[in-house]
Amino acid sequence: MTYQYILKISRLCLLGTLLVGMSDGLAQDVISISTLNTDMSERWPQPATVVIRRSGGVKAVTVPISFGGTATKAVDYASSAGSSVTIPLGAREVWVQVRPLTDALTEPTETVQVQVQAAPGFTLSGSSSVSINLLDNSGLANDEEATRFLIQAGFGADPDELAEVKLLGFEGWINQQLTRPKGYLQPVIQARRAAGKDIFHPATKIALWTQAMRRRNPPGGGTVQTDVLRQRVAYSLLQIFVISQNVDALSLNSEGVTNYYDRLMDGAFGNFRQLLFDVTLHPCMGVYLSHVGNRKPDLSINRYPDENYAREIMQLFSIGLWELNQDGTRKLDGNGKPIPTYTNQNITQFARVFTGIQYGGPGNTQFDYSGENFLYPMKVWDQEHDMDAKTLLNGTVLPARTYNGANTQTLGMLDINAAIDNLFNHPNVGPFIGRLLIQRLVTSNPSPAYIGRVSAVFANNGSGVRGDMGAVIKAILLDPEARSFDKTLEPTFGKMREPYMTLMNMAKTFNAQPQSGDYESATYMYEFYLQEPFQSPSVFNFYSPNYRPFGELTALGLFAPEFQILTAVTAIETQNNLLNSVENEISRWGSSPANQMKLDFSQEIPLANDPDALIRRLAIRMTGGTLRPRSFQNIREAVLKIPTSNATWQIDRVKMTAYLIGASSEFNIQK
Amino acid sequence: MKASHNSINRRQFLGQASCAAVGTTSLLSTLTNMLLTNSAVAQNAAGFTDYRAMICLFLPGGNDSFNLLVPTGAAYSEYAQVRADLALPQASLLPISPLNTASRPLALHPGATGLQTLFTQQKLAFLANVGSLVRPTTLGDFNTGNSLPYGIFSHSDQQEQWQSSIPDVRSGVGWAGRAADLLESANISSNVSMNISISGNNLFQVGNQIVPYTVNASGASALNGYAGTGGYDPIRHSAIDNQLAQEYKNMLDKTYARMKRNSLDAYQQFTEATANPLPADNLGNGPLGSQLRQVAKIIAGRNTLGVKRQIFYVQWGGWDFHDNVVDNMAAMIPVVSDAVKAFYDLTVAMGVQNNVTLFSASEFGRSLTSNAKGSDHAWGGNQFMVGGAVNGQKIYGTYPDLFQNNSLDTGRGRLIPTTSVDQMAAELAIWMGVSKSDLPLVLPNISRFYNISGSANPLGFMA
Repeated sequence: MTYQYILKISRLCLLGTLLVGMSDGLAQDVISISTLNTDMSERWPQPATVVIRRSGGVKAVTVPISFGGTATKAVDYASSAGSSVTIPLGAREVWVQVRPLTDALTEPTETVQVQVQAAPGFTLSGSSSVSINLLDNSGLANDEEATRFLIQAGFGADPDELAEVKLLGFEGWINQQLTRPKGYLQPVIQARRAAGKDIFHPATKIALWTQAMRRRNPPGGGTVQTDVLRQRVAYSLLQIFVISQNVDALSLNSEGVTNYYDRLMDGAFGNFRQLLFDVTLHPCMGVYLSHVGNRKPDLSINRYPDENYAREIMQLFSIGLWELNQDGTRKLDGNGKPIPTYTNQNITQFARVFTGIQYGGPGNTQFDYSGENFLYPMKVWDQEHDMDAKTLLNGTVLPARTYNGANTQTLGMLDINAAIDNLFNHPNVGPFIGRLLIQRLVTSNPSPAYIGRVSAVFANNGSGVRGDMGAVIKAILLDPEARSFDKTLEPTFGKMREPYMTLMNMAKTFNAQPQSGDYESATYMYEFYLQEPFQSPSVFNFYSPNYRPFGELTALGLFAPEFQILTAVTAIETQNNLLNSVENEISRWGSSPANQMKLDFSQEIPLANDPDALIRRLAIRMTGGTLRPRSFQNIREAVLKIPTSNATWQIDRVKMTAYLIGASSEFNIQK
Repeated sequence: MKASHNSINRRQFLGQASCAAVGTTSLLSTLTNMLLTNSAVAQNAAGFTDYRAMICLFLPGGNDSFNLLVPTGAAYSEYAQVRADLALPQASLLPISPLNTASRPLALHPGATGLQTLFTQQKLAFLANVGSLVRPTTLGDFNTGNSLPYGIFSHSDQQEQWQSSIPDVRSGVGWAGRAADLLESANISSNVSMNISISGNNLFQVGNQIVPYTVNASGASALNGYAGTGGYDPIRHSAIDNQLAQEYKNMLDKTYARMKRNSLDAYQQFTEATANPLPADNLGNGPLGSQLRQVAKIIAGRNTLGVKRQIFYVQWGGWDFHDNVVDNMAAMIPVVSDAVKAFYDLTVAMGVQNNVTLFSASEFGRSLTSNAKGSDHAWGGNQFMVGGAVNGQKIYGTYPDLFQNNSLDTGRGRLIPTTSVDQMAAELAIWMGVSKSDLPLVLPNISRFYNISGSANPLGFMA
């Protein structure tokens, strides 16, 4: 209601202005020119937008323009405009797009100059021309392209990481990341404990932030071997191999939970087979999906094995519900129906595989041992393992085994390894896991061809190895569909940034490091986002990979997982927390000076008196240059309403810009 | 069509089920066509004079409801044998005296004192062994895989099916959403949808035209720095409004902006409508009680919101107890039972007890047999319906045999449902005002279970 009212009022005002302008035939337009981009690149052919603005009048006005510079129009670039542009009645600006034309020539950086010419009916203000650099195709990524890459592959573009990406190129950067030492989380917990700090559930988030926020070139000097790609992939794997501290047994056990997370970190670039094995036998997963303590059947008392893990390892962790082609589309039977990957019969058989599992570690000497050790893989005690024959998928039969009474922990382990192999070698794994990771990093609706290319790498990394996750991640991020500029223009490409990731992106981009190095201010954020690492409401993660929000996307059969947690509450609370982060600090309740996580806008403050430069810079840093001209105009006009007479106008303009970009669709939907 | 400025977004937007199958080849022209051919919803529901609300209390994870509604007397030994270490002691069960003749004597979980009281007051009824069915199903059908729900026994699929009531096709639309598509013409124009969730986005309430409104137990949230008259609020206000009013080519951009716009629009109206104090209640401040109190606040604001029909979604707990099922239910059943009783009492204090019906749902019952620690995923389960309009103190449906390898046992005591979700939903939808002839629009498979031309109600639990 309020909105309607305001809309009407603003229309009335506009009409009023119009009438005044028209009756006052002498009102003189003042024309100026600026640009929303200072660079463009043949490599990343995003058009630059030159903006011609007017103030004073409201009538349509035609402004002659000319093109100059060292680049040649129609050879090096194309433009939407000819020799003049017309600002329509009532409009305040008009845009001229300049689009690089890619060629095979090796050229130096060229320039495109756009100039407005004096003409009757208006006066010119400020510089009459703008110049845009046109970078050659042979060069490395520009800021826009590199930032976009780091939004996919990291936690956003901090200046150090951006410089590395631009220096090494995408593949070179990934190659280096693959070999970087692992920034494990468990040692952070151990250090907290040694320092006498709390290690209940917020500590796992603190550990994750501590490692994600490390800077390549910290202010104190030296160089840190940052591993943001591994951190981001592990963070994504936790959304597939979900455990959660919303169960009591894990809530207080941050060391065990980070030990589990560190196995995901190993698996990020390791082999999927090992990853599936590590996940299966980790005691945190044993507790979460209840296969710790799972006993062999005893039909005399109507006791059967627990089926929980048997089901979820198939449905969620490896092959999914439906037989897939390598491109991720469903195989169909003779009647055109999808084919289930397994039956309930299969589940009962796998459930018998996962029997005899109990906590491991040096102290545990028998199945009935009551000690709970979360830092060692679980053991398989033969005495409680079902030794009968079992039928796995694709007709694989595990033979009956003879229990020798010695509890060697070998017979049960044979079954477990065989079951892991059985799943690992199922053709579904590549397309199933590949799609989930593409959805986490790049786009919600990858094309079948994209999934197919990733599946092929999963099946064979080029050296005959199946399940090489480093190669899979590389294939996902270097795929033409992930890297093509044209793709970003398609109306269905991209993904909603994970709500929680919007917070991490802001912190990383603006280097919100607490003086103390303790990230406790970043905790207790679940209610704002319905998302926080290690706090999934169930093994089904915060959202389903197949969630469809109401509207066009559902009508077209497309998915947008993260929209599942965008509600009338989170849509607002996310933005409120953005406002608080920008205006004050990242913290739910406020924090001590040493722990404060404040966004660092020191590089932006000097631009406050040049809104174009300010918005240009933040649009690149926050969205990789995807902010649209209409949004640019809207933000600029808002920023200009902050008068320079205000005592804090400079930082206020910066904060207004960061807030409005952070609230925009362009920021929240990464493309 | 409604006059609300965002009614295009919310209701008259594309989204008929038939559109779900279109490919992406001619995407833009398809969208244009859908917008042009979109027809008005059926108007048959207009003209209600009374108010009615239905609340789905969803217990996710699979409530082990054969330990909620339990055989007793001579039937207890059969129960005790199959449930083994999961069996509740007979002496601990709460007695009930159904007015109709159930297939065997039944009693309630010891923690269900509130439900027991409501049952005795004839305000609560149970529906036995209900679940998602494609069509009436036998053990022979199960063994040959004939017409089974997709992804049977899995949480995510069974939840989807309870909420869509179409267990053979993924529809992306819930049965309460389809019911609301028909019923919403009873409501005057509002920024607040007639389908309101207190527990997050769900399939149940999504219609072809209806978009649910999702708040939490504290209600809706205000956007900070936006509505004030001082500081930079006016600057932010107009900038945010402009941002959300833009035309976006990218559909994710567009969807995002639309959802935020709807959230902002609904906030003020919703908050004003729900501001009035309620009578005292015994709901407490736990997550379930707080959610139900929020439902009551919205019901209290029905005239301000201008609604005659509302559907609510409340979800509580995680019931997937492969481990410790007996202890966990001992802790959680009293929470549900007490909250439901307190909520009913609150509706009495508000004078709307005959206008409000709450029903329980859960994606499946659990295996009758034990895994030594808990129970595993199964199929049919027992649910309850509460309210002044419920024909209470009765057991509807057929309480099944529990012994192993009976004619409903698909193995391990996973029972084939003898009543379908369709029948339960049909009974509720009719009470809400959906005509019998329109039932197939809400429940496409209903005719497989119920003769919509007959005079009898599907199950008879609603007055």
